[in-house]
Amino acid sequence: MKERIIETAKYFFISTVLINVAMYVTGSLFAPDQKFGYEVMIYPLIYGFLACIPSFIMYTNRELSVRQALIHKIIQLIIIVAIIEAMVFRGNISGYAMQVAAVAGSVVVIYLGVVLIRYKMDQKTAQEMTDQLKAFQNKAIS
Amino acid sequence: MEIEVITIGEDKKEYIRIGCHRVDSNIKEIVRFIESRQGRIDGKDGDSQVSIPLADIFYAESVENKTFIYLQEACYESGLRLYELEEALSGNRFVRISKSVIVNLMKVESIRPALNGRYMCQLMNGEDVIISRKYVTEVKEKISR
Repeated sequence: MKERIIETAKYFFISTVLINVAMYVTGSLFAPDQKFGYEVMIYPLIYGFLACIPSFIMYTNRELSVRQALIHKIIQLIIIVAIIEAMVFRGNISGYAMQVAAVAGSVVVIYLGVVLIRYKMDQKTAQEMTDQLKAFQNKAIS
Repeated sequence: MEIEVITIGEDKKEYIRIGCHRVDSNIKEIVRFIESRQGRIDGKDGDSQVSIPLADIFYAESVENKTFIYLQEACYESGLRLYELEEALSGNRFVRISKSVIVNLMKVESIRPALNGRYMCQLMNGEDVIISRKYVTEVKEKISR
């Protein structure tokens, strides 16, 4: 459970930062004069939290193969898109095809961003482990 | 069974002698354990027994309740369960990296990330084995000692 919480927390913080960036970029491009109240600051946290629910529920201790892990991630992404679309449009999507597609596109880009950042973090850890491993091997031989 | 440990002179070769009524599975297990501490472990190649130097082992894997030991090119079956093998190899340069695999750290070429917080070990024979999330901390501790 501890591992599941740590993994979900990492997703939450990365997602929240990327959602903030996405809101800033899309807002600046499409509605630069729009003014908001303080309540807008809570939205990245809410969306980040909602996006983490599938990851938390679908977390598995099973040792998935690369193919299974990939399918797992795709299913997670589809569920996240559905949750965010439901939250944003509250079931009323008729006549909003462009907006629905834009939201779905944003979710996909943010999700890929989260996966990429996690991969980069893991890559750094892997490099550190390889360096430690080489030192371990050299120490063992000498 | 009585156990006696005696100190002998530096000029004499160290030995272990077991006095028993018959060589049963317990005795065989003790012999296997002692062999593993000396740098060799028993394996089976079909019907014939082979003594495998630990330094030649790349990894051991449990598949459908059988344990297999992989070398550069050869593969032997072990009579031990994976957890027994893990215990026998614990003082050496081996570490458990997933529910079904123990790897020889001296045979790992590099580590790279895989999906889902897992890592992939590339071995010196070109094979890849996965470090699952649960065992990452254990591997880090072992190599940082």
